[in-house]
Amino acid sequence: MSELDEMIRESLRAQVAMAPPLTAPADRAISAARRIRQRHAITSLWAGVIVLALAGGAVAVMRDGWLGHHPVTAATQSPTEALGPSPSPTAQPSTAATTARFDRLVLPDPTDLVTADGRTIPLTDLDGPVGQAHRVVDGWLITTPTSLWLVSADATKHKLLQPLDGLAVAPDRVHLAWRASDRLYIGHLNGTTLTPDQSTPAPARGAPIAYTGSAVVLGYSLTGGGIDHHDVWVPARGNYSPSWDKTQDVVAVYQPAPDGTLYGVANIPAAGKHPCLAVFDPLNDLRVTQTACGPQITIDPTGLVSPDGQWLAAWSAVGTVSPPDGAKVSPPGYGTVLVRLDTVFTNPVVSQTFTAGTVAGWLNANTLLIQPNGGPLVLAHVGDSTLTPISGLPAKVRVIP
Amino acid sequence: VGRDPTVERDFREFVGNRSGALQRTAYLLTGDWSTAEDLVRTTLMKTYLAWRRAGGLAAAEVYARKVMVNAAASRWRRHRRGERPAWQLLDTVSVEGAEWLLERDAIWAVIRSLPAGQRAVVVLRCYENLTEAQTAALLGVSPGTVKRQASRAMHALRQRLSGPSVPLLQAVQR
Repeated sequence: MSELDEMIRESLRAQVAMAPPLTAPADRAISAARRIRQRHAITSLWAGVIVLALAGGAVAVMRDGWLGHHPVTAATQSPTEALGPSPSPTAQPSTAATTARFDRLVLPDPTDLVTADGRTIPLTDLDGPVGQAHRVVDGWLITTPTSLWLVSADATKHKLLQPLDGLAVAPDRVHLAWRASDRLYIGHLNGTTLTPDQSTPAPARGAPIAYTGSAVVLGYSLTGGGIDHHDVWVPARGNYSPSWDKTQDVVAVYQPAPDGTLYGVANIPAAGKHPCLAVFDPLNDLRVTQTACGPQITIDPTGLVSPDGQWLAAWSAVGTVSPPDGAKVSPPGYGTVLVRLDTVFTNPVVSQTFTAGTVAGWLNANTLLIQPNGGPLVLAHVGDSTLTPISGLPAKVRVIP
Repeated sequence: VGRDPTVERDFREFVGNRSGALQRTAYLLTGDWSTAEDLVRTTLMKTYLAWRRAGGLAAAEVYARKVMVNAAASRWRRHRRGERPAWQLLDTVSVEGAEWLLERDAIWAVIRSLPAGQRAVVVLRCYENLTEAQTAALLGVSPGTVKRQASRAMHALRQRLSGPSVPLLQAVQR
């Protein structure tokens, strides 16, 4: 040991020689932990469709980025033709489809995939409860706790991967990033075949949570209460290299917008205690490149970018609640807000507020589904405060983005 | 965790035995007793929430230290813009009076000014007496990274303590 080492040690010891007493640290920690758990329970309840506990214990993760232009017959706007796959001989008509037409999972058990064109495809023969679900060119990607499946347009099922420890789908719906055991992969879909393009050793923890097409965002939860650590793998630069310590201000990362822009939530020291809406640079350790902060931007770390990339719908504090027609309201002060992404970073205001529940998914560039507290799903439209309840749907429905 | 009495009993035992040590390390990582207390509180809360998953009493210390180091780094990044660089404080240090106290405080001031990663390495290696491998495991980085961080920290210490106010350290550098 050098003399400098010893001097450092002595200096450090001297600094902590007179530590003030801690006040009931165990009691305070336990109380705080219980408050956190209660808050998470309430958040989970209100998040409803966004994070939904499936029967069988799997955690379902809502993904954004709705691709289709599926009509919803309850909507006041003119419906267009659905883009769902053509009916197969094995598919059965769904009564729910008569009132709402979009790809969806009906939960919890048995879990059915109900297509936009009204067919019901049972998912009970997969090897576990359904986790993620994504619309892709030739059908739907479905994850179970251990595997990745492709449910083709003709309702046949193909197991693409096993094991699977995390999946993210690029905005083009063709390129995927996943973790399998101790490696990370990127690859692409071609029909019913998934071809790995590149792989790298994976960190001890963390799995893909978003894929821009050029960068794979990794996330893991240290506390079990949601993803609280983020990192990035840029395949074009070779193997993954840890940078968890460079992304400490990242609070949440949303699914990439259709053009690959990565929005999310970040702690900005200069902005005070409330986190800000942010644009991250995925090629530079999620460096914040733009922020929108202010009293009207209190974005919760859940949010869905509209299919055209123009809007962000997020659960947020919304101020005074006035019950909309036909729908129950959220707890006072919370609801769904719309933020216009092409102007919010120069004019940080909320464009529209819906005082009912949490956003469940975008059906097209102008229409989204909102899940009120305990009531039926309602349709909401950009530029229109009217909420239209949808009848005929079971209580637990998850929109497939 | 729920209200499992076994978990709560073990957690209280852990806190009773180790909270003081955690608090001291937290202070060395943050440089402020109030912030250190906040850090300990957050660390203990997260440790309690993850008690079973982290491995219970046997693994609590390692888990808590990891949480604390990560949280300290996060806090440092949030607040670094508002911190006054310690090397500026060195300009006010005088060679008059108790020379060792000045040098000791000068060392501490420089350590406080280090980036979070370097500061953590110095604290864990010099105060906690952890090996390079143990420090690497705790920080979630490679031993090579720890070595680099330690080297940079020592370089910074030597550079910043080379002024006329700390003659003893000048001798140490040789």
